[in-house]
Amino acid sequence: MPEDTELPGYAKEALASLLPADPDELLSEQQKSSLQADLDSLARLRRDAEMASATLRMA
Amino acid sequence: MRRWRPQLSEWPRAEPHPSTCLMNHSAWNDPDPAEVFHPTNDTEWDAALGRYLGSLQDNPLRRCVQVARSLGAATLVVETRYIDLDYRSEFSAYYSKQFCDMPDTAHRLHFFGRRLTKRSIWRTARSAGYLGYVVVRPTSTGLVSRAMLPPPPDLSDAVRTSVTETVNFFGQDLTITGVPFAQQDAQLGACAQAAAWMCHFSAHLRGEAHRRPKADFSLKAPASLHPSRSLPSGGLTALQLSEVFRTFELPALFYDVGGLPSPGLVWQPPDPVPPIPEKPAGLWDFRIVAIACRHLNSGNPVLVGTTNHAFILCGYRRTNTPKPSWIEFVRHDDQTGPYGLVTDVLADVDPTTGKVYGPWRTMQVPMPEKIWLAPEMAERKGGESLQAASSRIFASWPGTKLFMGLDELIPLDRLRLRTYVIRSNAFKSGLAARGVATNIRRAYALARLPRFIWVVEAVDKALRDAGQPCVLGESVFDATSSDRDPQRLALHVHGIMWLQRTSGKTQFPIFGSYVPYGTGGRGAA
Repeated sequence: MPEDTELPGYAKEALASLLPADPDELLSEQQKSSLQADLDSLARLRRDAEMASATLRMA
Repeated sequence: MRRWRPQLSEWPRAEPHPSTCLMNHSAWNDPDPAEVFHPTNDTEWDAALGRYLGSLQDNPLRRCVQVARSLGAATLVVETRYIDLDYRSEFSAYYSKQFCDMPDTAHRLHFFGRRLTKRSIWRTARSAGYLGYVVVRPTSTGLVSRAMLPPPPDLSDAVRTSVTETVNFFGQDLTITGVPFAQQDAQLGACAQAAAWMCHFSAHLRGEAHRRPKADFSLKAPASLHPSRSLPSGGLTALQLSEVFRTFELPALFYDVGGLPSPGLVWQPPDPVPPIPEKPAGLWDFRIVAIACRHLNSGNPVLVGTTNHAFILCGYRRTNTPKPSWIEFVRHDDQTGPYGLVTDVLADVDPTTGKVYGPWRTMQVPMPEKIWLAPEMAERKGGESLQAASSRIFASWPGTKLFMGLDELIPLDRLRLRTYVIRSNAFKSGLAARGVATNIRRAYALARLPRFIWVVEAVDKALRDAGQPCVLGESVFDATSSDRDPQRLALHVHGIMWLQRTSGKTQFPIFGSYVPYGTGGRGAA
C-alpha cells in the first residue's frame, strides 16, 4: 500500500507553500460566481420537478 | 386450479380479478412442517411447484425459480403454514373480508445448493448452501409475497443494492444477500406498492427504517390524493408514493424525466435538446442514466414510473454493445420477476420477454431523511474543486510528475466523476481495503463527519476500463448541507488533502500518495 507521496520533506514544504490553505481559494471569483449561479439553478429545477409531480399516476 | 397461463403481452399490468379464490387451497397447510424436493430437470421442478403454477400471474414465481436454478439449486424445501408478516397484513386488510375462504398463512420456499433431506432439515441446513427464499401467498392474482434471492451469476457484478437478511430455518439462522423482491396481489396493492415495498424493505435491512408490512403501503397512502377508490387498488399517484415514503422514514428524492438536473461541468456531455416535433421525454432524456447511477453507486434502489407501471432499478453494468461504455440496468419488475435487464433506457423493451415498457416519466429515490443535499449539486461543486486543485498541484509539483493531472485527462476523454452517498463510518472503515495512503486514512478516521456524506470521486476512465484502481481523488460533502451551498468537508487529489475541521479551520497540508486507489461506491467503478 502506498504510504506517502515519496517527495522529500523540503519538496513537500515547497509544494504546500504554493497551494492555498483554504480550498475555496482554488477557484477564481468568476468560477465561484458561475458555481453559485449553477447551484441556484439546479435547486430551482429540483423544486419545480417536485411541484410538477402531483398528478402523475403509477399503476 | 386454473391451468390457463396468460402470456406476458396480455398483462401490461395486472388488473383486479375476481378469481382470487379459484386457486386450489385444499390441504394448503400440509404437509406439516415441510415438503422436500430434489428436482433435477424442468419436469421435476414443475412437478414440485405444481400447486402454484398455472395461477393468473405466475411469471414472477417462474423467474424466481429460474434465478435459484441458475445459482445451482439442488434442494427445494416448502415450509408450509408460514406466517408471513406481509401476507398476514394483506389478509387482515382485505382477504379476511372476502366471501370465499382464504388461508391466512403462506408458504416459504427455500432453495439450497446441496442436497438436504427431510430428516436433516432441522440440523444441517447451514452447510447445505442456502440460496434464499420465496414466500408464496395463496392468491392466484399474485403469488410472490416476497422473495430474497442473490442475483444470477451473470448479473452478480452488476447488482449494487444488495442487502443481507438473516432467515430462521427450523431453528437455524441462515443469511442471504440479494435485493428484496415482491409481486403485487393486484387487489390491495398494485405495482407502485410492490416497488415501494422493495425500496423500503431494502432500507429496513440496511438499518435505515422500521419494518412496514405490505398492506401499509396501500392503507397509509392518503386516499384523498387519488381520484378513484383505493380498493381494489388502481395504483398510486406520485404524490401518494412520496407521502408513503415520507411517512415511512424515507422521504424520496423526486425526478421528472425531461427536466432532470445535471451538474453541467464543462467536460461532461451537454444537456439533451428536446426534439421537434415533441416526443415523450423518456425517449430522449439520457440524463436518466447518470442520475440513476449516482443512486445505485450509493446502494439505493431507484423507483421508476412509466405511464402505467412502476418498477425498481437495482444495478447497472457497462458493456461495449451497442457502443463502448454503454450502460445496462438491472430491474426488479413485480410483473416479470427479479433481476431483469434494461438494455436501453430510451427504448425500454425487455430483451427476454419482449415486454414494452414505454417511456420513463419519473424517478423516485427513497433515502434517509437527513440526506438533504442532492447529488447533482455535490457533483457540480466537487468536480470543479477537484479540477481546480489538480491544476494547482500539477503546476506546483516539484520535479518529475509521475501522474497525469485532471486537465490532461479531459481532452483524452478519460476523466469521469463517480458520486455516491455513504455512511461516514462505512467510508472510513473501507479506506484501507481501497488502498488509500496511511496519512489520508488517519486524517479521515480522526475527522468529525456527519452520519452521511456525499463523495465525488475523480476517476481515470482508462484505468477503470482496464480493471485497475482508478480513483485519483475525492471531494467529500456534508449530506445535511444546502443545495445552494454544499459544505465541503474534504478535498483530496494526487495525494494532497485539505480537511475541514469543525472548529472552522482547515487542516492543510496532509500528504498521501498520488497512486490511484479503489472506489468507495457500491460495485465496480
